[in-house]
Amino acid sequence: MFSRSVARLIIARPSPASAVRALATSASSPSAGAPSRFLAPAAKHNQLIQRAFSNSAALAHGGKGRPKKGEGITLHFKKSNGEIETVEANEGDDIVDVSWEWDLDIEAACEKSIACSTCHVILEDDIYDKLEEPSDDENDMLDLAFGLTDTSRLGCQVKVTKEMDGTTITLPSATRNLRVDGSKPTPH
Amino acid sequence: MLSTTRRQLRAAPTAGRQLSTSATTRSSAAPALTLGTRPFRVGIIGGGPAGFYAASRLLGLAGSENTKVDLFELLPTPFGLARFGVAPDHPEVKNCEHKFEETARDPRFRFFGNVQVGGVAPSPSSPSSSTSTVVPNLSPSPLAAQITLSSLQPHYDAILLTYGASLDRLLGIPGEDTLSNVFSARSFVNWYNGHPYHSSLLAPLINLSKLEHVTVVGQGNVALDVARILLKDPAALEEFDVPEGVLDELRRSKVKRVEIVGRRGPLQLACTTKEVRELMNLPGVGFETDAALLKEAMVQMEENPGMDMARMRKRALGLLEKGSKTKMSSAERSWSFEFLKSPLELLAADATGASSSSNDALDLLAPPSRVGAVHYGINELVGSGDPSRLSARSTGQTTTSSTDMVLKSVGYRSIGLPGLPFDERRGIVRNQEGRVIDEAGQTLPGLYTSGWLARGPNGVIATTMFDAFATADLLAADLSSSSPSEARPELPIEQLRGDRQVVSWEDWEKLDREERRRGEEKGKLREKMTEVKEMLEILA
Ligand SMILES: Cc1cc2nc3c(=O)[nH]c(=O)nc-3n(C[C@H](O)[C@H](O)[C@H](O)COP(=O)(O)OP(=O)(O)OC[C@H]3O[C@@H](n4cnc5c(N)ncnc54)[C@H](O)[C@@H]3O)c2cc1C
Ligand code: FES
Repeated sequence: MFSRSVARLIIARPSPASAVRALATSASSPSAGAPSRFLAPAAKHNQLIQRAFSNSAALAHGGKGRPKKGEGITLHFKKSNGEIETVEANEGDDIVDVSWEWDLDIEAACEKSIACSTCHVILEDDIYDKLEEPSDDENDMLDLAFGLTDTSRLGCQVKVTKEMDGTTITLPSATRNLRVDGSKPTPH
Repeated sequence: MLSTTRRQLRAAPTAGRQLSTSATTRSSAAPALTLGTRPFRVGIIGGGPAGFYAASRLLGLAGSENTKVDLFELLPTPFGLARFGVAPDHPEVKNCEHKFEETARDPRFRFFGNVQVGGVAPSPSSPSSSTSTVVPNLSPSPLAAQITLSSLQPHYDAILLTYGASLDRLLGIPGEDTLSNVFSARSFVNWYNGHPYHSSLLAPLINLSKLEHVTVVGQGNVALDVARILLKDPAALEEFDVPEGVLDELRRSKVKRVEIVGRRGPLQLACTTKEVRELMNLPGVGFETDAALLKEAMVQMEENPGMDMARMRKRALGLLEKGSKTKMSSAERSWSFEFLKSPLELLAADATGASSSSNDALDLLAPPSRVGAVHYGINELVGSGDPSRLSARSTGQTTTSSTDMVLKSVGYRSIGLPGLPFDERRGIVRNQEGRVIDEAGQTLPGLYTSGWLARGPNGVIATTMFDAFATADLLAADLSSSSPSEARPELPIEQLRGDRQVVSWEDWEKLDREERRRGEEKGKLREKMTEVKEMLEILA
């Protein structure tokens, strides 16, 4: 018998079909006489490349769809670079679903298995206090989260509720802040 | 409202409360960093989490349409310690591989497996490997293509070194090199995870049917992984990807007791709560430790709420105090944390109390004797300030405990490459935030490092990921602000590989499918191939 963890693993695997689909939409012209099997097809992959710029997990998972405009729950995400992105979410989806749907750049390395802490989010006090307490497993992973706060949660364990309408969810910045002005390319 | 205990648990900074904001404007999500669509070539050396996360970051940056990433990996198989380190019963941790697979399928990315970059020679002052330890990277592999760093450099605008930390730190005590049944914990992990360099070498040396009592030196997560694999019912491992030969050995195991020994106390533990909890919950497995020491640590904990990683330490101590689900009185197998002990000497089984490291000429002829006991020095904690940072000092007292096998888990170090500045003391490539620097602190243009090779062998995959992202950002920022140069010529891999076989991503996918197919036949996740030779034959 397969245990729950294995079942979860198999379900969580991005379907090869979706990856193939992504390739199919992009590969238009064949490689111009690739001399070696180590050469990547040199075709124009604009679509794929465009999509690859966004969170690649979203490519595989695609999120769970968006609510009709004006009918969803409005969430503001404060990203690690300080920008705010406002999206609409379905009630009952978790924060990682919302991120996959809207390319919000939550990593979710373990794909919601409570085994990585890369989906760490910071909630507003009142929203945090209304949620059920985190499980032991979630707390074990929160132990390892960067920039842990009093209102930190794992995004994959927090479901969107009506009460969250209008709230701001902060994505902690764990990387050294390198995207400062100095990193802009110099014109030449 | 939060209960007070819950508030106390969260003894972390309260930055979030100030961070939260109610701004509602939607700003542009375009990152400041762009590669300006210039045709950069980046070479990455080492296909573990650091290498793959850096590749995914680079190829996700604005303006990277014309950027190309080539990744070189010693083994035909990708993913480094995600495949060969992370425990088989933690498949969820390996889910990060899905992202790596997506990156690898990007047409701008190429994988060159079975390529050893280096011409690696151990630096004179780096410790030698012990008889029972195999180091994948210490000498040129007889099967992998050999490419030097300097032959790669003309082909890449930047090279990122992410080849990890392959050497084990040694205890440096008598008996360590001369007795049998003494292994590095990582070799043992690599054995149960089917690493090609360890499987065939360790398999004949490990005989779990002949031993009951295992001592693990070091109290980090790797030590706890090893203990769990040794104590868990093998039937509970069958569904994962433990090689069949290893499962057979575990089924024969007579191991009853695992002692996890550290030189400091409970408050200085280096393992995470998740791993402790798992051990505490193992069916039929009891736990014991020095209750008085634990109590002392709890008191210190209460008195110093501001200590480093206070939240995790408090939760870990709580788990130790609560103990195992199965009580010692009814346990079939057990484990313990032993504190304040430093091994001074490993003693042979047949020469009770006597040192095995005597220079008797006969020793050279006889097979190595088996380890039978560990002679420890007993420590006390000294220092002031943050109690989690206290250090161990010998009290001068000693004690001896019997054992049948010793697994050393006291850290790792990396290996330098010829021409690469290496910090011998820390065992890492010299670098400043990922830029490789020489002894004088000068940056070596175009050379970067990340992951365990850059930071030292600490931290989970998430730590490695954040480091790789930051280094990739830095590399990209440097590239995009560099003055335009001529496009680099493509690497002539066919020429460089000689008669050795290089493994492409499609080749690896074939191996991956074959492993899964073999696994399916046995009702498990995958049956790993444990020999490079077999992999190459399948691909030939
Ligand atoms: C036993 C063990 C268990 C762990 N368990 C967990 C866990 O459960 N959860 C977790 O989050 N983290 C875990 N970690 C930590 C995690 O594995 C590391 O954070 C991470 O793998 C470091 O990534 P890296 O890319 O720097 O190094 P590595 O993963 O070591 O990758 C280095 C790669 O470089 C290759 N290489 C070496 N030399 C050369 C060469 N000369 N040329 C080309 N390639 C070369 C190697 O083959 C390897 O593939 C564990 C670590 C260990 C040791
Ligand atoms: S996605 Fe890994 S813990 Fe939430």
